[in-house]
This record gives sequence, C-alpha cells and structure tokens, in this order.
Amino acid sequence: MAGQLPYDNRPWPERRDAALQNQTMRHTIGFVTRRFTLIKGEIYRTSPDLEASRKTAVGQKRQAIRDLPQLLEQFRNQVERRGAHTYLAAQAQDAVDIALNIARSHQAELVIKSKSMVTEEIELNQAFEKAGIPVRETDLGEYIIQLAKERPSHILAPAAHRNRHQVEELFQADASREKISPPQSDEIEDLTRYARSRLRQEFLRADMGVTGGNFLVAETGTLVLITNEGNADMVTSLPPVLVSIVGVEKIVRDWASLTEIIQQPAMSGIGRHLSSYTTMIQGPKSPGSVEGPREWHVILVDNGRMALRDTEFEDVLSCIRCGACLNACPVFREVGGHAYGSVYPGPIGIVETPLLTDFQVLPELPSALCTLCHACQEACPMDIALPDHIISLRHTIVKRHLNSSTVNWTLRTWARFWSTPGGYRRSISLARVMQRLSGKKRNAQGLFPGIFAGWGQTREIPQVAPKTFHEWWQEWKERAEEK
Amino acid sequence: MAVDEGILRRFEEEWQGNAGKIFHIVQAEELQTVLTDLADANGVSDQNPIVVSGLSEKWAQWIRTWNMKQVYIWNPEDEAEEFRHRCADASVGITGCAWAAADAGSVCLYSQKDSSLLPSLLPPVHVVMISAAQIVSTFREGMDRLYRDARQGGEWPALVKIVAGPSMTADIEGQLILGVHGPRDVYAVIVDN
Repeated sequence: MAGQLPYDNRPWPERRDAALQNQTMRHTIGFVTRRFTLIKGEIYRTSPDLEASRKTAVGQKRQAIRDLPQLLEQFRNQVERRGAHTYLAAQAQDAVDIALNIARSHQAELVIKSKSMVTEEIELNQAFEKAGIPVRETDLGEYIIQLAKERPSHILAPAAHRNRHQVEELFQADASREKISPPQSDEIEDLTRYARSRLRQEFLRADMGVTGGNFLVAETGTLVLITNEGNADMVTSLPPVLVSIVGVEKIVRDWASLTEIIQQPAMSGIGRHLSSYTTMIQGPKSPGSVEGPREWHVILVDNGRMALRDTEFEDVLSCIRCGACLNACPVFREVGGHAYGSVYPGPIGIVETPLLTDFQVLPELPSALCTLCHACQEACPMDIALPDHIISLRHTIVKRHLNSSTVNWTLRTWARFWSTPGGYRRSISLARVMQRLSGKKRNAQGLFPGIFAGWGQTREIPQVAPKTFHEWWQEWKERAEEK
Repeated sequence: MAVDEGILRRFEEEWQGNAGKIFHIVQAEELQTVLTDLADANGVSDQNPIVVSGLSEKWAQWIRTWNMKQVYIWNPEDEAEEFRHRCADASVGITGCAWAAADAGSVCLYSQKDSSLLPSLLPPVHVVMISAAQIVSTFREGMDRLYRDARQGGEWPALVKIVAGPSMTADIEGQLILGVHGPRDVYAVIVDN
C-alpha cells in the first residue's frame, strides 16, 4: 500500500528561487555540508576496521530487509515479553491515531520529543496540537524550527537555515509568551543556555515522551537511539509513558549485526566513532529503578515501506539517515532541504518521496533536483544505488505519463533531432539562424520554444558558434588538400 | 590483573578527542582531592549537591569517608522520586560504569536498581569512575561484553547508555557548543589497581 507523506505544494521553481535567495541558509548549509563530508572521509580513512564493519553491515542489512516480516515478529515478541506494547501502523494516519490514543488514555498534558524523521513524516506534532496536547521538540535545532513553524532543512542540522539573530528573536518571543527570562544575548552560548533551562523544566514536568529510533534489534528486543545532545536520554529516562515511533526498516537481525552497524551513523554523519550518547531501551523500567518509563509503546510504521521489498528499489530501505548523501550532493549544497518540498530531502529524499507514495507526492524530484554526478553513490555508507534509482525513476515517470504533454513533446522533439548526426547538424544550423534573426549576439538564450524557454531561464546557455568543429575541420582539410 | 598500557593510553587519547577530561588516581585521598577541586569549581552547595550512583562498594566507601556533607549516594531502599529531584538540582554527578572502550573513547552504563543513570544526565558535570581493568581495547569487545552480561544476568537492563563525550550541539550556525541538555563537562577518573 502506498504511504502518505506531507509536502510543500509550491511549484519547484518557486521553492528553488526562495532557497537561492536565502543567503543565511545557503551560507550555513554550504559550510556544514562541506565540513561533514570532509571529516567523514577522514574518519573512514583512519579506521580500516570500521570500513570493514560497514561492508559487513551492508550485506546484513540487505538480508534483514528480505526477512523483514519474520524479524518484526521476533522483535515484537521480545519486547512484549518484557511488558512493552507494540503496534504495526500500515499508514501515517494509523500511527498518529495509535499515538493519540495512548496520550488520551493517560490524559497527557505535555509530551516531550527527541528528534525523529518518521514523526515528521507522519506529522505527529500537528495532530497532537490539533487534539490540544502540546508537544515539545527538545533537539535544539528541532526546537528552533518548531518555534518558527518550519520544517527541517537538513536531517542532522534541522535549523541550519537560521542564524543567531533570527534564533534570538524566536527565543525572545518564546520567553515573553512563557514569562521567563530571555536569552542574555544573541551569542550562540547564551542561546543554548536559554534552551537548556527552558526545556529542562519541561523534561521534568512531561507525562509522556516520544522518540524515534535508529535501530531495532530483533534477537534482543532492543531499540537504539543516537544523539549528541543527550535529549533522547532525558526522554527515555524521565516521563512515565514512552512512545517510540520507528520505521519498520530500522530492524537488524541480531546483536552481531548491531555491532557492525551501530557506529556507522556517527561515522558517516558527523565523522566521529560514536555520537556523544547512544541509548538502548530493552523494556519498561523494573520496579525500584530510578529512571525509565513505567509503560513503553513501540509503533512500527510501514507507510509505503513494505511495498518496496522485492523491487529494484529494495536497498533504499537500508538507509540509516546519516545525511552523508545530502552533504555530498552539489544540488543540496546550493538549495538546502526546504527546496525539495519533502520531509526527506537530498538524494535519498528524491528517491524515497515518490517511491513511498507511489508517485503521488512530488514525482518531479528525480528529474528536477539531480545532476547525476554520482557523489551520493560514493558517500552512502549503505551502498544504496541512488543514481541508478534516479535514472530508473525518470524512466518510470515517462512510462506512467507523469510529465506534462509540453514536456513530453519538447523532449521527444529534442530526442528526434539529437539522436542522429544529421539531425544534430540541422538543429545547430537552425539555432544559428535563429540566433542571427533575433539579433542577440551574446547567446542563444530566449530562443527556445516550449519547455526550453524555462530551461534557459536558469542556465547560462553558450553562444552557438558561427562554425561547428566539423565544419571547420572539413574546410581545413579541403584547404590542405588544395595546397 | 595487569593493565595494558597501550589500551589505557588509547582510551585517554580518544576520550580527550571526544572533549572528555581525565584524572588518574590510585587511592582514596587522591580521589578526595580531585573531587574537592571539582566541587569547588562547580559551586556545590546544599541546594546543588553531588549525586552518586553505581559505584563499587570500595569506591562508595572512599566517597563516604570524604569530608563533604552535600553528597547523596543512591540506595535502592530510598525514595526514587526524591533522588530524582536531587539529581535535577545537583551540580556534579558521579557514576561507575560497566566497561569502557579505548578505540571509541567511550564508557557504558547500565540502568539497574542499584545504579541510576540520572547522575550521568541531569547535573552539568558528570564524573565517571573507571577501574583500569574495565577498559577493553575496542568498542566491538564492549558490545560483546554487554551481550554476555545481559545473557548471564538473565534479564537485559531496561536502559543502557553509552557516553562518548559531553552533551553537544552544532545546531546554530554549525558552531560547536557543549552542555545542551546533558553535562557540559565529563571527567573520567581512572583508578589504577
């Protein structure tokens, strides 16, 4: 069954222009992505054992996806044996309903959350707010964009599009709403201190916690959470009720598989052996323990994932959400996450968004936001064949007639001319004539009919030379023979 | 058991690479000096005490004989809610650990009845005490150890936590800041046998 994904309904050119005009975002995204790419390369070079682990992990993860139904069953048995509750949500809406029911049955008044892409995918916060249950994001970046009512612009650095002055404004407004003392200045240190004390009170007060999950281990019934801030530790330790919402594809077979893969997100994401905090939950707290939830619910989300099994796109389900493909992508580096219009940006996003939704959501992504440079392929620690998938998706889009008729006509015409040398030569002479007629000396921009007009708007199109190389060569040869 | 100097050095390097700090001690008096300095530097008071959990009996004894009144050592007989409040207000938290891994510069803590994770999480300073013999060479060995411990114990601890550095973020303009939600400073106190 196709999944449901939220999206930005502005057309791509509008999203693109908005992104390109946002200098703050472009500066930070440019800086962050290049640095992450650099340190990722460095740490794998200096840790050959972890490069070996990575290769093993890829094979094990592929097998786990093939065995997904059995492994999910095993995971559920394991954690239920320890007193946790598990659910399988077929679609986004089901996951939201289950989570809401849990919150309502406990009359939850404040929910605290650690970062989770799948809850962005199912729009959990919006549903809770609508039901009158406040949800507080506690990852610093997520907290900032929650105040700004925005979506993440990067998987790992959700607020990378906002600078310190903009963050201070948001915090000032928050402080006056909450009647607490505002940040002392717009220094990043002071802003972080404000968030710490503001969120600390909510951590201690909240009656329900929500987490995502980096890995599920079928053999042991373990959920693994990775953060640098320690907020997932707060969420798993303090509230009496914990709900973990996790994509079904996060599963690994056994402890040995976890051992191979557990360091890969930090290695590929931030260039460290481990993030500052790795937390493993095995069940509700045992009586007498100081921390941990009395009740633990795990919602396993399908939302279009299971349908990708046994297809050529199956390897997409191995993604560990490290962000390495985003960081390496020359398109992402320029436009950042918002321009994609999906909760999943970057190369993995342009593949997953149409796939999870059976092309219902943003089918133009694989065509519009990729240069086929293959940098993502090289960056992906899970060896996901992103460029191949992008090409394949472009084929599917044509086959399923998802392009507009103008686009199809233009591309067919172009293909007809350029698929033979004669056609190519004719098109060049035609362009030369058009260029002369239009009186534009500089370049051939604005000469294009149909879709090409739009194509030319955002590209520097070179001037058509008065003579092609072949023509010049022919003339040169003839002159040489005359001599 | 003889301590492998190579492993010890590697742990120190990686732990410091993760922005952690190190002390070496061999006996009770040294621990007390280290802790007195930390208490002075971090404003320990009646309102902001030191909270302790998960130490071996010998080390807990070292702490008890230290002449410091604002110290709370978790005892499973005590009220959990009260200890939680103490942790929320505490200025320094002290814990033991189950094992430490040299190549990742990390320590692993199990949440059990007699060992709470809160002292490692809520106060701005976390001091983790490690016996040199607890340090394994690779994180992989640590993971094996965790698996064995859980199997032998018959039941998995509800929560397991691996710490590799202080709480940190680079969410605003990509600038690294320590101490977001968890501790700003993490100290490893290595006790040579």
